[in-house]
Amino acid sequence: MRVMNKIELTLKEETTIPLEAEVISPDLLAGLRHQEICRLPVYLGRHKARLGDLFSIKGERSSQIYVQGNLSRVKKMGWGMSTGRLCIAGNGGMHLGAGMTGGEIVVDGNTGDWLGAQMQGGLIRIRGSAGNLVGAAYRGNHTGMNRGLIVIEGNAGNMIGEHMRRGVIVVHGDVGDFPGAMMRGGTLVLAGPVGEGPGAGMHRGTIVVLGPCRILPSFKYAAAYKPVFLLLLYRWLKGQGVEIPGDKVEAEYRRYCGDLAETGKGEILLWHEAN
Amino acid sequence: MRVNNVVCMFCGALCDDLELVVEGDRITEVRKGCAIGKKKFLHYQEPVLSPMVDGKVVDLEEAIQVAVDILSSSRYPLIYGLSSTTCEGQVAAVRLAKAIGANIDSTSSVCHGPSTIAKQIVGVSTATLGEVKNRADLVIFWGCNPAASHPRHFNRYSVLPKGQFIPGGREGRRVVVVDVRPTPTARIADTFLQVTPGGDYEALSTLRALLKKIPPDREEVAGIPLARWEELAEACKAARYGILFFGMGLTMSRGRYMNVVAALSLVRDLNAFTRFGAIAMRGHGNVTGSEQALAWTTGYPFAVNFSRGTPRYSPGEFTAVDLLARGEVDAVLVIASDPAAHFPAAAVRHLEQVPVIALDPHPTVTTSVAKVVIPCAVSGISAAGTAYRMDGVPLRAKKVISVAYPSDAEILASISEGVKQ
Amino acid sequence: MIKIINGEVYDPLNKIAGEIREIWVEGGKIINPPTKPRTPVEVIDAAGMLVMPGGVDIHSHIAGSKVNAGRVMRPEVHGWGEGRSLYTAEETGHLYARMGYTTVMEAAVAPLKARHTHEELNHIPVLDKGCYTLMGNNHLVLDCVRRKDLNTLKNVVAWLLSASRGMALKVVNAGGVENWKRGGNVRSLDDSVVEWGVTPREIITMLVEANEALGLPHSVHLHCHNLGLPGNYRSTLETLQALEGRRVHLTHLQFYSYGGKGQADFCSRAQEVAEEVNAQPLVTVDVGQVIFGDVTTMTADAPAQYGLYRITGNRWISTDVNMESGAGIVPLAFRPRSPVNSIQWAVGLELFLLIEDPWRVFLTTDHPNAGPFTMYPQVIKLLMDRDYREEMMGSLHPKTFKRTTLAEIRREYTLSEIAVITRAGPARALGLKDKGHLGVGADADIAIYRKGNDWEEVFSRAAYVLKAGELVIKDGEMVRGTWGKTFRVDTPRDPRVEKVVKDKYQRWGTVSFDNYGVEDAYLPREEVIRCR
Repeated sequence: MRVMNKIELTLKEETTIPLEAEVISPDLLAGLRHQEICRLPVYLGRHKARLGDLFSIKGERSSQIYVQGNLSRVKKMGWGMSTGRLCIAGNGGMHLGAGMTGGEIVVDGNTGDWLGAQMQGGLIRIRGSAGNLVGAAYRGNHTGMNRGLIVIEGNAGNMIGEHMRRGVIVVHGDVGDFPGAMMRGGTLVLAGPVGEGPGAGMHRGTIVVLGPCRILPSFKYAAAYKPVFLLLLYRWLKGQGVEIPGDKVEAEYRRYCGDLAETGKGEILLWHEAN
Repeated sequence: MRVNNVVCMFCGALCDDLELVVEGDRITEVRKGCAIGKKKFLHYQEPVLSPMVDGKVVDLEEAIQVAVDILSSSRYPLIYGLSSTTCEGQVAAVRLAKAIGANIDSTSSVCHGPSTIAKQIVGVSTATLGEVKNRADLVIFWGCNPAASHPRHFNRYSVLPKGQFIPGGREGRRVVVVDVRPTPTARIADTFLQVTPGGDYEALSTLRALLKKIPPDREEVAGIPLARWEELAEACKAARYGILFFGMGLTMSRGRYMNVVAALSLVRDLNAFTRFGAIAMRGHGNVTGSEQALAWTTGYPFAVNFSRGTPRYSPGEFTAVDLLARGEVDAVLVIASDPAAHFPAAAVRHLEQVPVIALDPHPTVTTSVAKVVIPCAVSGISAAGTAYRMDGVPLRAKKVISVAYPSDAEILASISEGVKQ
Repeated sequence: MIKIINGEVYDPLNKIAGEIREIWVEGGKIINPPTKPRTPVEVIDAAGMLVMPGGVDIHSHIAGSKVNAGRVMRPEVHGWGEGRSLYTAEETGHLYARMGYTTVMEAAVAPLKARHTHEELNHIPVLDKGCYTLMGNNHLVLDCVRRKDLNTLKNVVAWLLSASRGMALKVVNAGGVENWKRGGNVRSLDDSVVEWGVTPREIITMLVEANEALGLPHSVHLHCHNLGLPGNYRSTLETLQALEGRRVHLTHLQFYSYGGKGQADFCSRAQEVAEEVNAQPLVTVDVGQVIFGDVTTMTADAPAQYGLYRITGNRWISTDVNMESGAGIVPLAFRPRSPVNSIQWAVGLELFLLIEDPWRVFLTTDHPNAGPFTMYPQVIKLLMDRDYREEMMGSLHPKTFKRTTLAEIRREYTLSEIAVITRAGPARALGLKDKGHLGVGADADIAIYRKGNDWEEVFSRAAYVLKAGELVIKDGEMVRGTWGKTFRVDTPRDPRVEKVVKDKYQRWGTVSFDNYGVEDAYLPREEVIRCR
């Protein structure tokens, strides 16, 4: 029987050497006893270690996992998870929630690159900032995030949503260059200032831009209107606990079609007061 | 003694027609090389370093032993460089990386790594330099300056030679240069387009849109009137055989691999009209070979990690600059390159804090911060082996003179032996 | 000294089919049973096992510039798992060896890049190997064909083989690649090669003549034109007819046996093609069987690859090699639900089953084009086990059976026939006298498989593999790393040809003539096959 308690992991000592800990995932821990959890393999640099060597661990058999400490060098937590809840009190490292198909990840601090890369479902919520390539495809793949929701309350780096196919990414703060590059579908909502080249090489999909941004010459202005789709999107986001700041819900947006160097079937919806 | 047809390993153009005069164990004269090549052959022919540990001269065996000890006790080592050594040296470096579970990366992450990432997104339409010589009637240099970096490129391959189907030589070709400043290369151009810094992506995607007959609704792109871009797009379509050479102006400026994605996509799209290719202006003598050697040994071109046994690839994660800037690695072996001189400040700071082992024939900034210095023979002068030209043509670099120190490959093999014991 | 006892031996060249025989090995060779062994004898008990010569692959892409370019372009498909099709040099050797293969030929090398191929071949463990030199679009060749100068052509061929350290003469889309460099291609044997005034017919027939006049061990290894296009069986038949019964090897014939005009009426013409092959006793072929799943297509047929890029929109690498060749690489997926793909799959099997003489049809997947070589055991099962074949056919697009004859074919391969198409036949076609059989004097390359009900399982992991008399694989796992040799041919030539060649290279090449040919340093373990 699964007991509805929680598992608490506390990083014993901060590390500069990267620690790969894809075992920190509700799917795996939910079925294990305390001893078994402690024995799970992790990789500290080039050495194999046990989870219990690096974390003090409380609890067992739960899909509610709380991790504490500065985990910015801890990679791959929540890798491929499908259920449960992973809460990180502190910073998270690279590849957090990559390939996840369900469940929820909440991070108090910042995270590294490849957050939710190739994610296929579930929810990731970051209170701080994220790195580059959020929801992107790994090298050589042509499908990035493909369903799910990522919410970043701080800033995000370059190339977020690269090759994204479905799902929604919301960033409240600044984003770097080329958000939505080579996007095949899905939706980006960028509430803060946007770097160079949003939607570069996009085939399909929607990028909603509420802050200032420069549109590439390979996008064409189509119309100014009040998209009903956004009304529904914002309402859905509100249901997920995501507020879009200010009076942007029923506002007018300028629609740009692109990238015309590709199919031209994508769109950027630019809030009328943004520029 | 005269030695002919010597391969010069100092830049990616890999000229292989040099004539050396050798007296005993000294090269006394160099013919046909460019000024840089001649200087390298004459003044850098011998290793001038001694094996050193912590600044004290030791014998070679001791230096190797200290290197073995550092690498054996390291928890997350990095092997970096490779671009000026032979493929034999590169393969030996991969073997060592595998033996110690290291990260291994080439200098391409500070030059054409983004070009390789772009190839993984778009592919690439390309050609050997001989096709450029024999067929190209339109040659575009974008964000590169071969007049300074590859001095004989124009002569041997791209601009001046009479080709099989370009009997007029220079007259038979149109040369276009696109750069953010008027470089020496721009001086030989028929058309020079000075783009605003950071404007490359916009310009390239504008050209792509123009091929699709969808002109942007603005009069100027990247600081150049749209009409001139239209004219260039038409010239590309009308060419019989077009070539785009691109350099670090694209790969290392804002946009990085997206710039190259746009360039390679443009070239690919042009094949609907005519035959068109792109060639990366690879800088170091055998940086192209490092991509080749890593690919057949690990499956990946650079940024490879062995910490879990099987090779894994992740630029940004396992690239040397990033590993150092984040302070992750705890020991670094540098082969045939000078990261302390070329890396960003944050990476260099970490390099100064961890034990560095430097294999180099000559003093560099890196050897001056290294804990262990191991001198080696100079690839292409006192060590033979394979090098790949920027277009992927492999050549055998010769051993012209003998020196007291072994090659990179031999030293790396000794270190591998040591760590296995 | 090793003695293999109690095994069922399949050695078709020596007409042994399933007899229990002892095999003795010493010094890397198979020897007569000694009356009094001088050295200790290691005994391998092969009771309940099949003993065959080591496998010989006549056509695979395992080393060189385009294989490596494929690896670089596709970081997502490395490793050993399912859907993986690009292996490192080391993996290539291990994966072939554990299937009992010990000799593999790299099928396409542009001479200018041959040094690269040999460098990689040297890093492939266990296997003996060789490579084929591309000549069908070489300017030196085109020039001889234009001047109808067979004598010079013979010398040029000999020189190119020597410079590239090649094993055989390869022709890929004769003339088509040269035209591609102007954005074109050739579609029939009588199209013109621009600027040269020659036709594919002339190039192919003259190269076949030169090949036979030189007495090369392998015939011309011919990749026809119209690769993969509907209706291309006509040009395949036309090519065979043009050669008038002369010796030739048609490679990955599956890709050239299609009827129809487009996707809508795409169908098999394997029957017609097989009949023509049956009627020409000197013709050998390999199939290039399609395997469903992810592949990486790579070929010197650059224009065909541009066509494939235009159809799929996938990533595309194309490289023109001056004066010699070109290449293209495009990732692709063969899907059982696609009518075209499932017809292609059926065409391959039809060729295997309709070509009567197993000594003239060889097992290949044109790795990694139609599928990875690691799937050979599946193909063996499809050929040996009709129930399995029919089961697999059930999962295919229903159009497959209206447009192919596969459902009507009842033939099943015997173990002897499998031994022919995977080792004895290819070895004979390559002229490798010490390969593909277990007679005294043969190289002691021996594959021993544990018998079972599932032929795919049987041939996937050999129980024992001996390479040159050394045990390298036990129970499918590597027990010893060895390094095989590289075969190349050497044929006498008029030294004056060098002047002709040198003159052209100095004018139109970009490397010094003295640096063009592959140096001895790249063949540290070579075996030279001398002709005449």
